[in-house]
Amino acid sequence: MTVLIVDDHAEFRRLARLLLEEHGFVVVGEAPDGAAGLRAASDLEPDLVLLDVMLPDFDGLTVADQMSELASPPMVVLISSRRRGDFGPRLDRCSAQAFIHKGDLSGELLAELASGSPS
Amino acid sequence: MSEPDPVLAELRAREQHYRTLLEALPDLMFRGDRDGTYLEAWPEDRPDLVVRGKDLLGRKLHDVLPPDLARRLLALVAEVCDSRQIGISEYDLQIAGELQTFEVRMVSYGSDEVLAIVRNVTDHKRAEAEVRGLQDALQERLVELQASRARIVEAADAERRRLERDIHDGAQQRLLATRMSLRLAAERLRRGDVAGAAEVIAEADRQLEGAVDELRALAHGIHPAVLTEEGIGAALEMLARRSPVPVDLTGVPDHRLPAPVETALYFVVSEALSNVVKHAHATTVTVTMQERGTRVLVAIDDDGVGGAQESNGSGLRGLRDRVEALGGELAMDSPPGAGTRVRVDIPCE
Repeated sequence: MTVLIVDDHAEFRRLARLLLEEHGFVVVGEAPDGAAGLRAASDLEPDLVLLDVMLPDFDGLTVADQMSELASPPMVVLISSRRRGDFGPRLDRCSAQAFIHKGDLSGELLAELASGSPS
Repeated sequence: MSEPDPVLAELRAREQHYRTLLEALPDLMFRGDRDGTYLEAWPEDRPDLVVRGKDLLGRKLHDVLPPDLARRLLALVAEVCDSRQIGISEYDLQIAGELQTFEVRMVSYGSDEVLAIVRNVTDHKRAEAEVRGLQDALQERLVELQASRARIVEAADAERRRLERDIHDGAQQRLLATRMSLRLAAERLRRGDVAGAAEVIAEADRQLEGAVDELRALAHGIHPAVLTEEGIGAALEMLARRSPVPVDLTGVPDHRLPAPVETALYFVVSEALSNVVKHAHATTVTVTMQERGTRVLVAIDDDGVGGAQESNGSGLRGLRDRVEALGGELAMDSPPGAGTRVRVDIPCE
């Protein structure tokens, strides 16, 4: 399963890549902001995008909505170091399939989410 | 010997009655005609009469009063004679080198005469002006107080936002990375990759160390432990030791001051020293602390370029509010080219 990681923290991207690769995911790209993330999602057509909610340029929820309109839309999993409750109802209306707190991120959890039915 | 005339006796009694009434009144009274000639004046003499009462009789307004005022009053006389309505006016008059204010109420009297009752309202006016002045000063103080309250609340809010961001961007990110590294180590161990696991555990250790350092620095910024434990003297000595610009510190007390005073003084000195480092290009700073009666004074002087302004984000604005909330004062003097002096003076009881 191919994955794109969109997050402005290089250290997080590096560790997330190692974690996911450890579990058999193929990380096909990384992007530090929303614009680069959208371009990469369109070019690389990953199966799954790990997308930070708070990006330096756009907000991740907007980016997620735009990704859902791509020709072959990826599954989008929002990630944040804040809790889901910190974002309010906007997160529920977003087209992203799931939300994971960064501290909970693991290959196992992501695999479960990817195989389960999108919520 | 004739019998006393009862009518005459009655008249005398009435005259006595009215005279008594008049004497009891604080007002001046004049009767005059349409031409402004004084026909009667009461009382005979008083310090705020321009001319003694009996010397007025037969003279005109223009003989006695300044021309402008005489003209004004003559116009009022004409108006009252014509309209038969009461006329009221106010005027100032210089008497024995002092400006006095009078209020005149004029009524028509007979066909072509007026009766003017004149009250000296100088003290009343002065008191009114004083009350107005006090009210204005009070209002100004109130506005400033409200503004400073708003600033204190804003500063506290801004500080909380900054703390949240610092914790989120600093220690929290490092702790998150630690969790991820440990999870990665577990995955590697599960695969039997001991060397790989050890590598990321060492990484986790470094991340934790960074988080601890960040938290320590943050806690220090919130409230330095040395201030809590040892007091203002030790805290200022620590600030002096850590300052990149040499600090000459004198007069620190060997006893504790009230906690709010210590905190305010610490942050004023800390902010002033950090401004010296950032802006002053100084070679030396003196920090002088002095207890004078129930007040404590601290002065921070540098030999730098001066020209600092409190409004230029010096951080002193917020500190001034803090100092003033304790009933103290903060002043900054920073003439261009002649160094900067920050002086704080706080009551300390």
